[in-house]
Amino acid sequence: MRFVSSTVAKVTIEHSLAHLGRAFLLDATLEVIDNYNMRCQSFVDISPNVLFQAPTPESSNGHESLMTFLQTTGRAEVLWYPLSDKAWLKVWTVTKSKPHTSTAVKLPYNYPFSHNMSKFQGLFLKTVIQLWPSLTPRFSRMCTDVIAANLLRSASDLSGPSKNSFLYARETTTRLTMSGHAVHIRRLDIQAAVHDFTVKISALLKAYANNSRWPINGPVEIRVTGLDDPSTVVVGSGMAAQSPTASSLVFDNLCTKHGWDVAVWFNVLTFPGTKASNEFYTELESCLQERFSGDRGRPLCRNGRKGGVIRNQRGRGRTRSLWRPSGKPLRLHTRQVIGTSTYGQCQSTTDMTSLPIPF
Amino acid sequence: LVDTDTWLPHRGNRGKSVFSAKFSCRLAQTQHPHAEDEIETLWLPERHSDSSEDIRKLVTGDQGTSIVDLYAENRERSRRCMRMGQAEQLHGQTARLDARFFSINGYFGDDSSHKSSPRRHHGTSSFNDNDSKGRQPPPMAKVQSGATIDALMNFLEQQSRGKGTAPGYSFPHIPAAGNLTIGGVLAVNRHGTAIPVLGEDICTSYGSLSNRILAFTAVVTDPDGATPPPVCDS
Repeated sequence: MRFVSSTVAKVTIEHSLAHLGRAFLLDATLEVIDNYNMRCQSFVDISPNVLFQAPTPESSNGHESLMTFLQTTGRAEVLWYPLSDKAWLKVWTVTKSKPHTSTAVKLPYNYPFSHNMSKFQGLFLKTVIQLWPSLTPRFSRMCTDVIAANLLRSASDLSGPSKNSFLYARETTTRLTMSGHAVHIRRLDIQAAVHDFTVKISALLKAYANNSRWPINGPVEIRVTGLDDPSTVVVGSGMAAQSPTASSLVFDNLCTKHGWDVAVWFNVLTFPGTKASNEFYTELESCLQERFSGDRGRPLCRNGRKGGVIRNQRGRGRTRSLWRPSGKPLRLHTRQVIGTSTYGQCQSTTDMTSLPIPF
Repeated sequence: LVDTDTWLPHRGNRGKSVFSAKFSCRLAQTQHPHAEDEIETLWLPERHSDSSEDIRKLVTGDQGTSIVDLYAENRERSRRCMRMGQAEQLHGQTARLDARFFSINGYFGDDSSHKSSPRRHHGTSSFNDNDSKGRQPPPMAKVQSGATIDALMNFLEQQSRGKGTAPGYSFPHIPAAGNLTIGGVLAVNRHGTAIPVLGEDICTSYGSLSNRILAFTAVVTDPDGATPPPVCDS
């Protein structure tokens, strides 16, 4: 059999836009937009109870709920250690010029405390927390305290070209196992979804703790994106773009029917191999599927082998199973070098966990 | 790139994957009258009986890590509308955002400097035909799958033709890790965090980076090859 390279237009390749199978992707033509300046503010003084509060009637909605920030700026990310009383909220705002109080940044990676830990230090922490799991609450509080201290020192308010605050995780960032889901919902329901999820995971963790089990020692990461809506893609006349079939953000008839227009990403992280973490992830996924069913939303599994991470701490690929929403395992194989698509087609996706352990 | 064996399709799934890419080409040719314009073979390897040799030739050269070109020239601008979420509508405000998109010169073959650019359409007016909204093609960057997000973002920021508040070009959101390759990012539809808000002068897809693909080049079976490609019943 002979191989050639061919360039294909997007309109005909929706099944290949994500999870290209095992084909060789040589290049891609991506739509870009004008660059813009962004301000990235970090908040650690907003209580998770306020940030994740239950939605209230619009007139009396709390000023510091996550949805309030999203409505104002559209860009927010929460990093929250569930056993601590603080959360790291990052809010990006598109600005024309640098605000006076903001620190100008000319380069990305401005949170050095989040990726300066050596492999040995990471291994040490992992060993300690897994040998003495009851230290997990104290460890969580310590992490948030260190984050808060470092942010206040230098990086709580940054401003510069977009990429300088977009990019903040390096390859040296400690690798954690992650279970992630993209929950398709209506934009109106973001706060309710976040509230229910955080209440649920807190209750689950409490139940586990009552049995002296501590499955989650990393943070929970919450992000919000749009869906892969093909109507927002500009293609030539007479053609219609298609949503990437295998994307976690696939925009299909169900989205149209129920009015889902955003996805909330819930990522739950822990050190690889932490006892009871697989059981916890399974239980959490069941809760998500129960909460977001029918017209109330749709959780698409993002990652979650039995301990599912794309790479272990040494970065070596290995065979694992991904779990689709149906619960049926799908055997996939990862490679050490991510240079082309290596995944079979499925609705699950994986993500390299890059996660701030703040040392 | 790495040694070819690493990149070869997995033995057990080779047939399926080859079919997938092959199917794309066939679909394009059968469903679109101007498919010849949309599909262009950029370069062909010499005929060899060993398929891995073909692939080796396809991926050698610049190691697959360069950003090939940026097809953007701010020659004209137009405006179009974008569907907004229900939150805005509830506020009683208009559910529309104005957007700016740019016509592109070299991408359509007018500019001889873009010899390797895919010829999806002939003539700069093709995006406007039968389109009452006057949608113009956006700026776009052709990037090889081995280039990292870091490299791409640096490249885009160094371009002088952007008209935003910051130099060059960017995306609505990107992953936080810059050492990922574009191939890896597109394989798992990576993303950042952003949804559109009113008053922002950015109107585009807020989905994953996979939704920003306008075209790609993949290794597929040669339709004129001696051995016919595998047939899939489905």
